[in-house]
Order: sequence, then C-alpha cells, then structure tokens
Amino acid sequence: MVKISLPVIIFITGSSNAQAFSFQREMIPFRKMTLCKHGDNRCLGTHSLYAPQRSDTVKIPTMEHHTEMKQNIKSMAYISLLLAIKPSVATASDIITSQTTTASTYQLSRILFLRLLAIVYTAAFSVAKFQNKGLIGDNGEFVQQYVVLCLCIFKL
Amino acid sequence: MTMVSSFSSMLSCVYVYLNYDSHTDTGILPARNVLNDAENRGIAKAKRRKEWLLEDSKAYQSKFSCIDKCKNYFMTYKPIEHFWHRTDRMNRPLPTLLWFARDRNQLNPWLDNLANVGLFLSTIMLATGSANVLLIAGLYVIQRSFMSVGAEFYGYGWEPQLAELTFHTLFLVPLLSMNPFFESVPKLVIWAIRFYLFKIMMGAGLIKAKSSDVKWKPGNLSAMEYHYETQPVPNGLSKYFHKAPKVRVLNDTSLYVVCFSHSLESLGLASF
Repeated sequence: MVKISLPVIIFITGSSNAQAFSFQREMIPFRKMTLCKHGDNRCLGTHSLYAPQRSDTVKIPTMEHHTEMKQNIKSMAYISLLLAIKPSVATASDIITSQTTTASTYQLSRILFLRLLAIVYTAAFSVAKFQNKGLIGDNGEFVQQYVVLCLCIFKL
Repeated sequence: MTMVSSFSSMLSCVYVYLNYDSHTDTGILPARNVLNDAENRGIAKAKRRKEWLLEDSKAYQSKFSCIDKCKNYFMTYKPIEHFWHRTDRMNRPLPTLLWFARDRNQLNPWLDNLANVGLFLSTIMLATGSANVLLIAGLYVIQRSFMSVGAEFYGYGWEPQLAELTFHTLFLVPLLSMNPFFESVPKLVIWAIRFYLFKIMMGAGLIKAKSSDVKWKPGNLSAMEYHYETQPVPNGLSKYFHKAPKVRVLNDTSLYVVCFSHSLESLGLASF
C-alpha cells in the first residue's frame, strides 16, 4: 500500500526540482572511493603499508538517479509524516546521513510561478488596455446622472 | 497548485472582462468620479483634523508630547493628506497613480499608458521567467491603481487576490538581479503562499456550507445537478452535461467532505 502510494505522492509533489538545477551547482561527488594498488577496494593483499594518495581518489560520476532517489525518499518521509504513514522504504539513518542530496531550492518552481503570474498579468493588462477607456474612461454614459446624484448627496 | 490557481484566475479574468464587451469610447463609470469623491472626502477629513488640532492646542497646549506633535505634523503632511485622507466609500485609502494626473478630465492617456507599462513589465517577466522587486512593485502599483478607481469592474474577488499574491511575490524575488537562479527561495514565502491558497480553497468550501441555499443543506444536496444543467460560461462539452441523467453526486456524508475537499486539494498540490 505504502509502496504504491508513495510514487503517487512524489508525482503529485514533484519533489525532484533540485536535481533539475544540479548543472547550476557544483555537484558534490556521491562517494570518494580510495583504491589500493590493485584497484580493488576490498583487497586483502599484502600491501598493508600502502598509504592512499590523492591521485588514488577516483571521482565516481555523479549518480543522478541515486541522488534523486535519495531526495525522493526524503520527501517521502516528510509527506508520510504529514499523512502519518510510517515509511517502510527509508530508515531514519538513511535520511539523516544523506548529505549528498542538495536541498530543495524551489528555483524551478519560482520560474514557473513567475511565468504563470506573468501570463495572468499579460491577460489582465491587455484586456485593461482595450476596455479601461470604455469602462472607466473620461466620457461616461452616466456622468450627468452621477453628477446630479453627487450634488444631491452633498447638499444633504 | 500555483499553476492551477494562476490559470483559473487568468481564465476568470478573461471571461469576466470579455463579458462586458464594451469597446466604446464612453466609460460607464469614469475613474474621475471616484477620484473626485475621494478628494472631497480627503478635504473634509483634513479640515476636521485641523479644527480638532486647533481646539486641542488651545486647551492642552502644554500637555502634548513630542510624539503627539510629530504625529500631528505627519498627519497634516501633504502627501499623507493625499494618500491617507482621500478614501473610498468604505473609508479605505485609495492608493492610485492617477492622483498624479494633472487634468482629471483627461485620464484616458493615463489609463492607456499604465496598461502599456504593465504589459511591458509582464512581457519581460514572461519571457525571462525571472523578476526583481522593482518589476513586481511596478506591476503591483499599476494593478492597485486600476483596482482603486475601477469601481464595480475591479470589485471582484480575484483583484485583491491577485494583489495579495503579487505582494507575496515581492519577497520571492531578488532585489535587483534578474537571474532566475538567484539563490534559493525563502521558505517563509512559500508557506505564506501555501496558506494563501489554503485560505482561498477553505473559504470556497466553507461558503457553501454556510450558505442559506437549501441545495447545499443535508438531505437535499442537489447543487451539482443545477450546476451541470445551467453552466454560466458554456463550452463544447456543456450540452452533454446538460443532457446527462441526474445523478446525485453529493450525499449527506459527503457534505462534510465538500467544505474540506478544497483545502485537502490545496494541501496535496501546494507542496509543488
């Protein structure tokens, strides 16, 4: 049940907007792996005196799908808190230690929001441009009546 | 949710404005009247305030504190007199750029140019997808200008809503930079906008529960039948809805769902 509902929640919430901007930021590599001489990190060989050099650190290409998954898990936990569903996918330690995920910046949302607001304003002002003169312009149809009414009120 | 609300408000704007369909040169409710009325009220208020000050200064001249004097000076200050004492019928201030028009009998160019500037600013925002505080403030001021003098035509619910949303947007964008990726968005503003959406949707639900209409009361929840049958702005599918068999969409148990459905909807989608 939870496994089915969570992707739906992710789809609704669209939490992966931070990943869309990963190209803007300097990506933090997911994990820096130190390799031994043999190129095996689980090597049980005899070179115990080997000290890992800086050149040995290999920058593994950023696992965007992995990062995204982690981000989604984070949002899952967040929303499941709201909905009082206990997350069965991610453990608490996973969420706390997931330092590789970038925080949600809402930049894409802001762009979308501003564009939509701009559409509203474009519609509103283009209509205002053509109709304001007719509606609240100078030569009103009811000006005379209105003036008479105002005079009556002020005399009273 | 922002998307949905923006689209809906845009559509409603267009629909309602087009319904009036008055492209004539004769204004139905000229802005001049609103401005003149407000000015008269402002003059009367300022006069009353000055009289009151005169009387008080005669009686209690020594008892006025420094703050009182400053306040009184501030309230009789000319710009304050213009923008605070000049009120509408409900005694609310009337902030509008049209006060700067020299000849109040020729407001048409002002209305035109304000709309042009607004169009220009919103086109920039649409093209770049970014904005700064100056731009948003310009849009806000122009929209408020029309809203103040628009009388009945700008008296609908979405005008203050649009103004409120624009005011929130002021804190959403950088001060001068037009970089769309400028830093991150403040969390407080996001939550303010979420609350704004929640408020609208909750209000829309509650007003149905609160209405005295029998069609929204328990036992007779037939409002949707009428809604499908008589649609105010018909579209291509309307005739099918009109001819559809009467199915009771709502029942007694769903009454309680109705007033919260909107708010749940906003909760679900506002986290976008």
